[in-house]
Amino acid sequence: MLLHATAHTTLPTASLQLNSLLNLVVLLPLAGALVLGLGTLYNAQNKTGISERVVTAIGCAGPLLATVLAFLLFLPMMGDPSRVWHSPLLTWMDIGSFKIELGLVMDHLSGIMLLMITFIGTLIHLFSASYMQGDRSFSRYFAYLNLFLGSMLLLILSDNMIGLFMGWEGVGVCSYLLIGFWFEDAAKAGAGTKAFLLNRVGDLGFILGIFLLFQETGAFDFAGIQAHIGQTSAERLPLIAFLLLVGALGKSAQIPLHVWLPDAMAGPTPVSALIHAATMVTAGVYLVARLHFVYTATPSVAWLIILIGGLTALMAASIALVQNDIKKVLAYSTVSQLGYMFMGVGAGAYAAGIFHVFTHAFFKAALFLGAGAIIHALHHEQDLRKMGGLRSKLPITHLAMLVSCLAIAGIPPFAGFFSKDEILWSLWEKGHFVFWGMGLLTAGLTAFYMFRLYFLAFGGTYRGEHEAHPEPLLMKLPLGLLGLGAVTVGFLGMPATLGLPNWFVHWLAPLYGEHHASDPAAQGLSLILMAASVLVAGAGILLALKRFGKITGEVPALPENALTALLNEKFGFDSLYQTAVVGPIMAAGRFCRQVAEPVMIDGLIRAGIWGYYAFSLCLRTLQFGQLRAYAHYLIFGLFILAYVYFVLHLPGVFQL
Amino acid sequence: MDKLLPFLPVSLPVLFGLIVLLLGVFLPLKQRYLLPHVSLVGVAFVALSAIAAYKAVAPNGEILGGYLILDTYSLFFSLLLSVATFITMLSASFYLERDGLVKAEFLALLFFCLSGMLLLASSRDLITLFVALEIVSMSVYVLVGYDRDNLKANEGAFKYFLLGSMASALLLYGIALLYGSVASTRLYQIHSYFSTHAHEPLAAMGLLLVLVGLAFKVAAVPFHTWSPDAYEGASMPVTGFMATAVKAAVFALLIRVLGEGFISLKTYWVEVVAILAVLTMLGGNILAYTQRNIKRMLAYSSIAHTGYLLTGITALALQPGNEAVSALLYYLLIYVLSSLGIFAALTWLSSQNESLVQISDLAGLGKKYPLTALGLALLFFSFIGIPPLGGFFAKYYLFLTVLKAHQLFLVGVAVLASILSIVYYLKIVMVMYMEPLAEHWEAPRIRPVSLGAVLGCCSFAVFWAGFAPVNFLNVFPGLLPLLEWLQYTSLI
Repeated sequence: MLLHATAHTTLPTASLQLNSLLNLVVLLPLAGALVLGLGTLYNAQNKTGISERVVTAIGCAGPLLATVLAFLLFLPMMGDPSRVWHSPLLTWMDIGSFKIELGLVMDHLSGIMLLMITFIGTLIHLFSASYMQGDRSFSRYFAYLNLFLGSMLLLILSDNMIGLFMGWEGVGVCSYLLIGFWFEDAAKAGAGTKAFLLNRVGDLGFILGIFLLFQETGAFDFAGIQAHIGQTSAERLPLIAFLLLVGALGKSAQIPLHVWLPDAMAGPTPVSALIHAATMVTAGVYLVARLHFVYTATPSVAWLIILIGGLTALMAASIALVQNDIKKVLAYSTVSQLGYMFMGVGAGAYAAGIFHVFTHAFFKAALFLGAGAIIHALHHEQDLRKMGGLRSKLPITHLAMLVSCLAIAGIPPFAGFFSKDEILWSLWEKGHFVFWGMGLLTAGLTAFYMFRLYFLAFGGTYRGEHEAHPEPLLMKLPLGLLGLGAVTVGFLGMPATLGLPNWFVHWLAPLYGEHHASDPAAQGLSLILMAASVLVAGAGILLALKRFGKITGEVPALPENALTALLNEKFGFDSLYQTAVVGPIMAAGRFCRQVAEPVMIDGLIRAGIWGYYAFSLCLRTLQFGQLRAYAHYLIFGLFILAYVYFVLHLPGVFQL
Repeated sequence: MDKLLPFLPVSLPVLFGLIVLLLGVFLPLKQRYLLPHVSLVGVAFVALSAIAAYKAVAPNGEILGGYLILDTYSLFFSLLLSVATFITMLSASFYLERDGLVKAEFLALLFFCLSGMLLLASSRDLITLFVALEIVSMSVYVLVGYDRDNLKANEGAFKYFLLGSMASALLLYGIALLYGSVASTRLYQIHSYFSTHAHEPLAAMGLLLVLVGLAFKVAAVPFHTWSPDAYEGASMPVTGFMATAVKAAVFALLIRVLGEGFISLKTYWVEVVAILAVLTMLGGNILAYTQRNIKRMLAYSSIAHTGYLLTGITALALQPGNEAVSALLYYLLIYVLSSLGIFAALTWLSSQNESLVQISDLAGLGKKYPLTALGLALLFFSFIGIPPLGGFFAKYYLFLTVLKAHQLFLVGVAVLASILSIVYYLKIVMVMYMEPLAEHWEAPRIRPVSLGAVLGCCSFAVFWAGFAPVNFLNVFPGLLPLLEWLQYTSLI
C-alpha cells in the first residue's frame, strides 16, 4: 500500500494571496551576489580593495534580511493555515499553447523550507566570516555564497518547473564554483568538475522529465500539473517520474550518482555545511515531495525510490566506518541520511521525509561547522588520527557536536530521533519490512561511526603537532544556535502514534493530508520499534566508546581483510566509472582532437570558406567602378527578368 | 485645424527645413551651434504630429478621397523614420563640426528628405509616390556629395545620381504604361481593375518596369551597383541614413505598392521578386566577405538584408492575412535599430578623422572601449541572428511566414545566406576583441554621451526584443497581426 488514501488535492486557489515581499526574499541575496561580484572585480584591479569587514556586512545583510522577511511571511501563515503567499513575476513566453509564466509561491512546504534555509544560511554566512578570514578571495567567496542562497530560494519558492529548474541549475553552478573555490589546487578544481558533470547527468534526466511532463499535462506550474495529472497516459507517467527522479538522484547524491558528494569536501568547510549538508542536496527530496502527486500515481517508481534510498543509506554508512578524514565521515553520513529521506518520501511519508530534511539540516550544519571549527583550530588538520582531547580546548564546539552526534544517532529526545523514527515507522506501517531492517542497521552503523568520530576528536589525549587555538565568537554563536536546534527542533514532530501532537505533519496536512489516528495496537507496536532503534543506536555508541573511548597513543589500524578493502574502495563505484565512462569518453575526446576536428571538420570548413572567398573575389571583379558597366548590369537585369516573366506568364508575346 | 492636422506630418518637415535654412543665414555665426538643437526638436514635433494626425483621422484614415491614408502601417513608418532622422541629425552635428561644413543646408536637406519619406509611407497613388520618391532621392544625392572637396563623395554622388535617374525613368515609364492600361494611378483602382480584367502585355511591361525601378531603389542585385560606391563616398551619418531611413522608406513604398496595388496580379510578380530575392541574398552575402572597407561591407550587408526582406514580400503575395506585413515591419524595425546603433558608434569612432574606413581599424576596440565594443558585438550578433537577440526573432518570424507560403526553396537559400553572413560579421567581432590596437590608431577627438546613449539604447532594444518578444511586439504599432498570428499558429 503505497497510495496515500487521504492525500489532498490542490490547495483551493482562493487562499492564494499576493505578496510581493516574496520577490524581495529571493532578490536580496542575489543583489548581494551582484554587489560583491562587482566588488571582487574591483578588488582584482585595485591593490587596496574593499575590506573584509565591508564584505562581511554586505554578504550577511542579504541573508539576514531574507530570514527576517521569511519569519514575517511565515507568522501570518501560522495564524491562518489556509493562507498561501503568491507573487507572479512575469510571462516569459507566450506563443500559442506554449506559455511560460514565472512566479513565486510560499505554501506550507516551501514555507518550512524557506525558514530553514534562510536561518541556517545566515548562521553559516556568519561562521564563514570568521572561517575565511584572511583568504585571498574573501569577497568572491561571499559573492558565490549569496548567489547560492538566492538560487536555492528561487528553487524552493518557484511555483513552476521552469523557475525551479533555474534555481536548480543555479545551485549546481554555485556548488561547482565553491567546491573548486581554491582552484589553484588541481585536485580541488577536479572535484568541482566531477560534481558538476555528475549533476549534469541528473539534470539531463530532469529536463527531459520536465518536457515530457509538459507534453502530457500542458502545464509548467505545479497547480496546473497536478490538475492534469489524471489525464496523462499510464505508460508515460512512470517514465516521467523516473526521469525526474534521475535529476533528484544527481542533486541529492544517491546511488548511482552519489560519488561527487564525498569529493565535494574539497571546498571550504562552511560550504560543505551549507550546500552539501543542509540545503542543496535536499533539493532532490524537495522535488519528490513537491511532485508527490506524480509519485503517488506511480507506485513502481516510488518503490524504486525506497530501494535506492535504502541501499544508499546502508552503503554510505558502511563506507563511513573506515574513513579517517573528519569531513569525509560527515560527507558519507550526509549521503546516508539523504538515503533515509528518500526512503521516507518513497514510502509516501512525505511529511516524515521533509521533517528529516528539516532536523538533519540543523544537526548536520552543526556537525560540519564543528568540524570547521576543529580544522580552523588545528591549522587545517583534517585527519581524525591526529586529533583527540579537544574537549577542553574547544568547549562550545564539543557541546554542539555532542548533541548533534546524539541527534544523528537517534537518541531521544534529540532532533534526529523523532524524524528518523517517523521514517522507520512509515516503512514498517506500509509493509516494507526489509527496508525497515536496512534503516535499523544503518541507524546502528550511524551511531557507531559518529561516535567513533566524536571520541577520536574529543576523547583521549591530543595526538597532533599543532597547538590548538580556541574558536572565535563568530564561530561560537552559530554553533550554539545550531546545537540548540539539534536539541529542540525534534519536538515539532513528536510521534502521533503515541498520541503526541505532531505539529509538523499537521502543518503539511494541506499538501499531504493528516494520516492515521492512533489506535492502541499501533501505539504498542510503535513503542516496541522505537525501543529497538534506540537500543541499536545505543549499542553502536557503546561499541564506539569501547574501541575509541580512551585512546592515548596511536590509533589502532584497521584489520586488513576483504571487507575493509571493499569499504576503502567505496564499493568500487569510482574505479568502475573511471574505466566504463571516463576512459572511453577521454579516448573519444582524443580521437576528436587529433583526427576528427583538424581533418574532418576543420578541413571541410576551410575548404568551404576558401571557396566562398574565391567566389567573392570573382564577383568583386564585376564591380570595378565603371559607371557604364553598372548601367549595363541594370539593363541586363531588366532583360533577364522580362524574359523570365514573359516566358512564364505571357508566352504568346514571343509568337507574335 | 482638424482638416489640416492630417497634412501636418508631411508639411512640418518642410517648414522646419525652411526655418533652419533661414536661421542658417540670419543667425550670428556664434549662435549657429544651435541649429542641430532646433532640428532635433523639429523632428520630435514631426513624430508627435504623426501620432496626432493618426488619432485625428482614425479609424478610417483615408484623406483626400483616398490619395493618402494614415493607418497603423504609415504610423509605424512615420515613427521609425523620425527616429532614424533624429539619430542621423545627432551624429551629423558632430561630423559637420569636424569638417567645418555648413550645417543649415545639411539639416534642411534631411528635413526635406523626411517629408518625402513620410509621404512615401502614407501615399496610395503612383504619381504621388513617384514625386515623394524623387524628393527623397534628390535630397540623398546631395547629401552623399555634401563634402564637395572629397573626391570619393563626388564619385559616389555622381554615380548614384546618374544610375538613379535611369531607374527613375524606368519607374516613370512603367507607371505610364500602367496608366495606359488602367486609366488611373490610384493603387486601389489598379487593384480593382486587375481583379476583373485579364492580364495584358502592356500592363505586364509596366508592372515589370515599376518593379525594376523599385528594386534599384532598395538596391536588389543586380540593380545594387550604385550602393557600395555611394555608401563609401558618403559621410558616416549619411551612410547610416541611407542604410536605415531611406531603405525603410522605400520598403514602405514597395510593400504598399505590391501588397495593395498589385496584389491581384500577385501570381505574375512573385517569381520576379523571388529571383531578385535569391540573387540579392547570395550576392550581398558573398560580396560582403571580401570587403575591407567597413562602409562597403555594411553596404553589402544591407543588400543582404534587402534580400531577406524580399523573401518576405513573396509571402505577402502567397499568403492571405496581415502577418507577412507585420513580419516585414518587425524585421525592418530590428534591422533599422541595429544599423542605427552601429552607425552611431562608427560616427563617434571616426570623429578624429575619416581614417576609420578599414575593418582592421577596429582592432583592439574590445580593450580600449569595452562598452562600445560590447554594444557593437551585440548588434552584429543580432544581424547574424543569434538567439536570444532581436535579429534572431526577426529572421525567425519572417522565414516562418515565407515557409507558410510554401516557399521552401527561398527559406533554404535564406538560411544558407545567413550562415554565410556569420563569416564576415564575426570577423569584425574577432578583430575588435582578438587583435591588438593598431599602432597608428588615433583616439576619437570627442566622446559624446549622446552617441553612446544611442548605441546603448539600440543594443538594449535588440536585447529586449529577443528576451521578451511578446512584450516588444505589443509596444509597436502595426505589429499586432504578427503577435495574434503567432499566438494561434500551429507551426510552433
